[in-house]
Amino acid sequence: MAGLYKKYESQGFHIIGLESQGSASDAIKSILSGQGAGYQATTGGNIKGANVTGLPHSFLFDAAGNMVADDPPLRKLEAKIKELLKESGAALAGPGPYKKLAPMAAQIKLGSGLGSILKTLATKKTSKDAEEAAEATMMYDALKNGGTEMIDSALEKKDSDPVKALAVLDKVAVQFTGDDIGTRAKTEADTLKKDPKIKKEVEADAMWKQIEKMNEGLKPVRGMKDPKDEAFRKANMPTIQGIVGACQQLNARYAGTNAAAKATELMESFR
Amino acid sequence: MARLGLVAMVLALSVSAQAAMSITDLNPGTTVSGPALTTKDMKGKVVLVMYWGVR
Repeated sequence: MAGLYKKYESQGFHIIGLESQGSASDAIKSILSGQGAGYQATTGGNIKGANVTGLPHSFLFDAAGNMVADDPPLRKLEAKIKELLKESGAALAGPGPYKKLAPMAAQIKLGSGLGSILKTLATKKTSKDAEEAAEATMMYDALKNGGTEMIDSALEKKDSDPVKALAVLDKVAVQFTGDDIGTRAKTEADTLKKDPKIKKEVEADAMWKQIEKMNEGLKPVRGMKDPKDEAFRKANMPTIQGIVGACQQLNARYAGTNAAAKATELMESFR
Repeated sequence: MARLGLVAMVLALSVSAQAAMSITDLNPGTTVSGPALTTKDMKGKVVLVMYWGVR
C-alpha cells in the first residue's frame, strides 16, 4: 500500500487507513513509520453502511466519489487505480515533477479548460527558458496522449457499456473544447447518440439511477444497513416494495438493456 | 428452498445497499499520521479507504 501511495499520490490518488482496533496513536505511528507509509491514518473513522467482514478490508472510490470496489484483490488493485486515474483526468498532467509549470499542472488536475491549456502549452514549448520549454513539452504530450486515450478507451467500451462510453466522450468534449481532441470527442458522442440502441440504454440507465437512489434511501437501523437484521428489513419494507415496482417498470420499458439486467437481478432477489 | 430464497434476498440487499455508498459516507475520524484530508479534500481524487488494525 505504501508503494502504491508513493507512486500515484501525485496523480490524484489517496489512501486513508481507518485503524479499527482502538489502538493507541503511538502504536499506529510506529507501525506505519516502520513500513514507510506516508498515507493518512486515523482512529475512530468509519463508512456509513459499510459491511466490514474482517481486517484488513478496503473500499475503492472513483474520483466522482462512488464506491467502485468492495475489498478489491491486491493483485488487481494497481490496474484498477490506474484505470480510475485515467478516467478521472487527474493523471492528465503526466508524472512531472513540474517546477515552472506547477500551477498549470494543478489546473489540469482540476480537469477543466484543457483545450485552452493545450494552446498555452503549445506556445510555452518554444520558450527561451529551456526548463519551461522542457516542462511544457512533457505536459503537452501527456495531455494530448491522455485525451486521445480517453476517447479510444471510451470507444472500446461502446458496445459493452455504452452509457459510460457516452459519458466519457461528453466529458472529454467539454474538457478539451477548443482543441482537436474536444472536436473528435463531440463528433464521436453525437454519432453514438443517434444510435437507437444506445438511446434506449441511456434512458434505461437514467431510470436505474432513480432505483439506486431509492436503495440509498434505505434507512439504517442501529447505525447499520444490515440486511440480515430483521428490524432493518421491516423498517425498509415499503421502500423495498417500491424498488421492486420500479424494477418491474424498467424491465417492461427497456427489456434487453444493461439496466434492465441489473433491475431483473435486483427484483428477483427481493422475491 | 424458501430459506435459500431468503438468504439470496438478504445477500442482494447487502450488495445493493453497499453499491450505493459514496465517499460522502466516510467519517475520516481523527488523523494520527500522514496528511489530514477531509472528505471535502478528497473530492476529485481516487480514494482507497482501508479498515485495518495494529494487532
